[in-house]
Amino acid sequence: MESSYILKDSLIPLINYVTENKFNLDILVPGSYTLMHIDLDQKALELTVDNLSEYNLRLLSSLDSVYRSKKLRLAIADMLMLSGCLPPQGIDKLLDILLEKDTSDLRELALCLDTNILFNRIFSQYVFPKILKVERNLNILISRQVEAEIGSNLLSEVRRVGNLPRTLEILKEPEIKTFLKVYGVGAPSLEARRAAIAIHELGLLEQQKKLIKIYRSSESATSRLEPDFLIVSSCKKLAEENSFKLLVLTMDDHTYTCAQILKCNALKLIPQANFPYRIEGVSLTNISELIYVVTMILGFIRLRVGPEVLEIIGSWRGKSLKEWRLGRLLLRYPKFGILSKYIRKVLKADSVLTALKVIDQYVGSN
Amino acid sequence: MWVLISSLGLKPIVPLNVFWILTEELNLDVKKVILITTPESASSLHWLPKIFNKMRAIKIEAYRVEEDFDSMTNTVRVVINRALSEGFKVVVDVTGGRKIMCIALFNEAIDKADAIVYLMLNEPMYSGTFYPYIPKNITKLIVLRGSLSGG
Repeated sequence: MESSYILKDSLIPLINYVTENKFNLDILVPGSYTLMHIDLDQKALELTVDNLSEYNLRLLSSLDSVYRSKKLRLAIADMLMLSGCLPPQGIDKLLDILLEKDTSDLRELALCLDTNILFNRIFSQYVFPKILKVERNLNILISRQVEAEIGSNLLSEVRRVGNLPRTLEILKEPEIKTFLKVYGVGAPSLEARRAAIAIHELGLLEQQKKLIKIYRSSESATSRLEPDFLIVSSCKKLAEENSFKLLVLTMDDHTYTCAQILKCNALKLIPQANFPYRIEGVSLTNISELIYVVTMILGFIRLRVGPEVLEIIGSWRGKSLKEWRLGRLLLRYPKFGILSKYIRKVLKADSVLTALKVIDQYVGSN
Repeated sequence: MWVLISSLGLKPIVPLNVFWILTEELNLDVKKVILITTPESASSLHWLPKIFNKMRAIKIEAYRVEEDFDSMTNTVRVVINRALSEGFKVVVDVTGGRKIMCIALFNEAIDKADAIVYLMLNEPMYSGTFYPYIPKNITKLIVLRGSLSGG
């Protein structure tokens, strides 16, 4: 076997090459069975969830109760949403607000993020990149409760392994790094991976001075309140004190209801759980994103390309957090095969594109 | 051994894409690239050779022509004749550059060049994109005349 690192963007030419003769994508949960089988061509994505059949479900549920049908279905809907194959419901409204299409209220905008927004990666894929680019004054409000919930998801993994102290209140980068060293490519749970990603993204927003963490004594005093209620009420209070226009962003009914009770504007983003059998109009970029998202979530996937198998591994091998941040992926493939030929081209294309990106004229020509 | 003669316009990615297809997809042994350009679109000439050489070590020449059909035709004729006399097989790319320049190129190449090619792109949104990143089903190198076999 041969191996090479590629950048996330290089999945585009890679998929472009391998889809010439169509290919099968088997997504494997580490140590488990095939969960999903996707036939791809460049015009449409045909999604067949084989293992939702009764037989496979029984087989899976006897092994791991996490992957029961509903969860599996939601996970797939989530992946489709994250890759841009299917947008979440409500995203258009949010983007309008971020891009100031609604000019009825000119106060500074403050987004109160529920934990599930950060955990379902909608934030990463649809909101976070926009926030980084948005020029208006924008405040992302993170309550102590949200931060604690993110931390607890990492901690639960750490506790299971028992290699890190149990009492990490607020996880900072060194802790994440140590945590990742424990697992390497072996993949922490989906929740733990997402927690690590969320912490990283919030760190970037903090650098841009867009993040406001709410630490108020009143919060601990009222901590008997139900968590979702606490999240919304603490953000509301801060927004009122600073005359911010508050928008609560969530993915669940409960927080949405809490926001309504507290008379806050709220927006609920949810994946399209009842995804269609055939999704039309999927682009090459969407397919590449889908493969990237699935790889990052599961840590490891396999593509069958004709008689050969390509293994794509989320590149974080416990050595450097930087690799993971850059979106690097590790490829393993047979020597001297068709895949080896494709990947050599992809690596060459990547070096050319990197050189082109450096040159202003290329930017101008776009 | 082939020489690629290409008209260079305001989108320098075009000759790069054609070169990539010829060398990487069709495995053509291209040893030299000759770019025909107008003063208006010559600004990319100071960095473009570096990018070509990232793909493959080749010789690059550039000729600036005025926006005048006769002058263009004369330059193109000299360039093609010289390439032929040096023993190259000539492939002429008429995708980029001003229309008049492409016509001049086509006009001169029609009887002399071994192949005339045009890179068709069905989606304008990919017009500034490097070839491997363009979905394969929306782009195609069309051989307008001759063939790309041999050499």
